[in-house]
Amino acid sequence: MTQWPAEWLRGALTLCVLGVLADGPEYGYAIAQRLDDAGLGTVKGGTLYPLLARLEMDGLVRSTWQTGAAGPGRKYFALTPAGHRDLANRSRDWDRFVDATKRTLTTSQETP
Amino acid sequence: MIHARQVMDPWRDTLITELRLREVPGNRIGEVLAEVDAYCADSGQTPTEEFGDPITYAQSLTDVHAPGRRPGDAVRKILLPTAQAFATLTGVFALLDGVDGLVHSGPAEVTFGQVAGVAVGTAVFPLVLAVVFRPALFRRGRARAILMAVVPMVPAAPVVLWSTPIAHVSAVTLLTAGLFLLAAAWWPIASDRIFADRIIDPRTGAEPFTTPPMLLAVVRWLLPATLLLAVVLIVLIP
Repeated sequence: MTQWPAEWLRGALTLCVLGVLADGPEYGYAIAQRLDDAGLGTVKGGTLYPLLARLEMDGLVRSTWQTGAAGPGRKYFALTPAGHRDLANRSRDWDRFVDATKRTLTTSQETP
Repeated sequence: MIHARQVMDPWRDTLITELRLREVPGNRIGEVLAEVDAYCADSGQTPTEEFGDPITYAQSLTDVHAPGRRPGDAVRKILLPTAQAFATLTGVFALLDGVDGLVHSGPAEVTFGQVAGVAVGTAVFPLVLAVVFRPALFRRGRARAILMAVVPMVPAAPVVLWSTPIAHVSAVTLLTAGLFLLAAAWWPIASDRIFADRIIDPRTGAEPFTTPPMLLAVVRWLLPATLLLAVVLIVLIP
């Protein structure tokens, strides 16, 4: 399993978490699992929850506790309408950023 | 109904202390603890493995969970402790002097040392409390213990050094004023106001950890019990 440089993950994590939540409400550990399955590597709870709290403070995410059939309750996070709009904007910007990065790398590889 | 009872351990204890020192409200602390509990139940890992050092984790949460500076903070942090220190010290000296005057059937003596003690204590107590409850010092147990042991003695030094009377006041008046001031200073402790910001688990709406009743009783009754003992000693040993 690839472990990406921490600064890469820091730059992309908010966008990726918003992307996971775009599919529907999800709880903390499931979000981490989805990120891991997507190939982003292990994201610890200590990284995930401060980020989710910040998104909630900014009004992009809302949370509710739901009691499970077994074990303790889970806190589910869902995108708000503002979160959906923010995700669309960030995704567009991210695409442009990735294109710019690729162009830079291509140019530097072609230039001897 | 599943009761998400949490287990107190050194990791959670340190996290709670650190969040309290950073003025994160009790309901937010309950939320953070429940998140840790739920995440670790799902992952099968320990809080240390998932959330790292509790002090560092608390620091990473402070800016999102602690409310910013609010109007009235200066009053709450400086003026109230200052007023409480003044009322307590003046109340203690007035009560003991008043009782002493009544026992000796004469007016109560107010000394220069007592006035100086009240002035020094009123200035020093709130300052020391503000310093001790800063996260960096609170973690240094020995320095905190020394400060907490030495500071209560500060107002006593002038009383011992300067025992010259500067005024004579009616013992009943002084005793009444002392009781009034002590009641005012003790009320926030007696009425549970200082314990009002409780940690609440969002899953159950209950307190996951309760303060031991014995500790609550000691905090609440320490001052009245000590003063009662002092009054009894004054009456018995004229």
